[in-house]
Amino acid sequence: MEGTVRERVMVRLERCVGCRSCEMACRVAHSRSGILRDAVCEEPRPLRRIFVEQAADSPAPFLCRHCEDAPCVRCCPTGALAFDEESRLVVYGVERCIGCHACVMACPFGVIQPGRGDGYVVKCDRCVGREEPACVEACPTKALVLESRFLSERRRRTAIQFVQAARGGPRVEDMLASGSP
Amino acid sequence: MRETPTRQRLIIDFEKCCGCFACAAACPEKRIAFSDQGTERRFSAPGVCSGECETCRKVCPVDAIVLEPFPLEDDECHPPALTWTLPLVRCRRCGEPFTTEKIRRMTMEKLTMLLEAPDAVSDWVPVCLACRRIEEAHRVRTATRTLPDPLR
Repeated sequence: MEGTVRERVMVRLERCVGCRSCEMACRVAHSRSGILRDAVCEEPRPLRRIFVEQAADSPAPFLCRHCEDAPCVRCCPTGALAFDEESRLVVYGVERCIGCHACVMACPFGVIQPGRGDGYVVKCDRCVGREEPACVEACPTKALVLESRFLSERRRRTAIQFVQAARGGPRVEDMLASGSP
Repeated sequence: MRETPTRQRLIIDFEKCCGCFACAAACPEKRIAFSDQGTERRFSAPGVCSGECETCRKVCPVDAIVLEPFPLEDDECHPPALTWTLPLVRCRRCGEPFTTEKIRRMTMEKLTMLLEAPDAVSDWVPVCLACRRIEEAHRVRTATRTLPDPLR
């Protein structure tokens, strides 16, 4: 079982600069040819699964969160959308889908969209066959990271801060009181 | 002896139809069509359909389609083509029509029943996809501003 779990993508909002590299990488990764030069000419145009939205002046990327008890899965009348216990992802089975778009309406985050061409709906599949999803790979500021990397980096930072404190920096109690690490 | 009918009459319960266009998407011959015009979704379907295909009846999530055998030789009375319309609803935020009123109501009812927080449902169901993301972006931004950066 262990090892088949597909890590989720974490978003570090404070790092996002709104360059939309992830959107482009997502389109290319889900195009027929898989390369940018040919993907731009494809018809129907490849769709993205990640969306960078602007909240006031701050960009925020959105993609499927692969919720454990997801409204989209609950609303699907045919079981085309299901939570896969093995990979811990919400997976879309196109062969069961009838195209009623109940999931599109049910998703609170608006990340399932009506499809064109193959498949009735389009959602993040966490890049089948790739170890690291295309969006994570493409993000120049590492605003998009995989869970394990997010956690290990956080541990590393915490360790650094404790070491600094031990060497005569601010007291650990003060650091904890201020909310960091 | 009558020969086996190779045509079917299409009977659609317009009251039941929710306007999801699963039938239009599934029809192998693309005989069921729809288009959004202003605040209405217009559907059209043939009165009689050839063949043994039952795809549209099978996919309909609300069982609004009935297929009846229609004799081949009965060319005198031809059931007319079917057309029906369903009202669309506008997004609460941007005001663009985005789904049928019925689908919105059904999604609300279903989610209210399924989820533990029935009040939360009205937060997103009356809003179109792009606006849901924008609203969530604002919520996330507001929430993260009050929290210290976990990596700093």
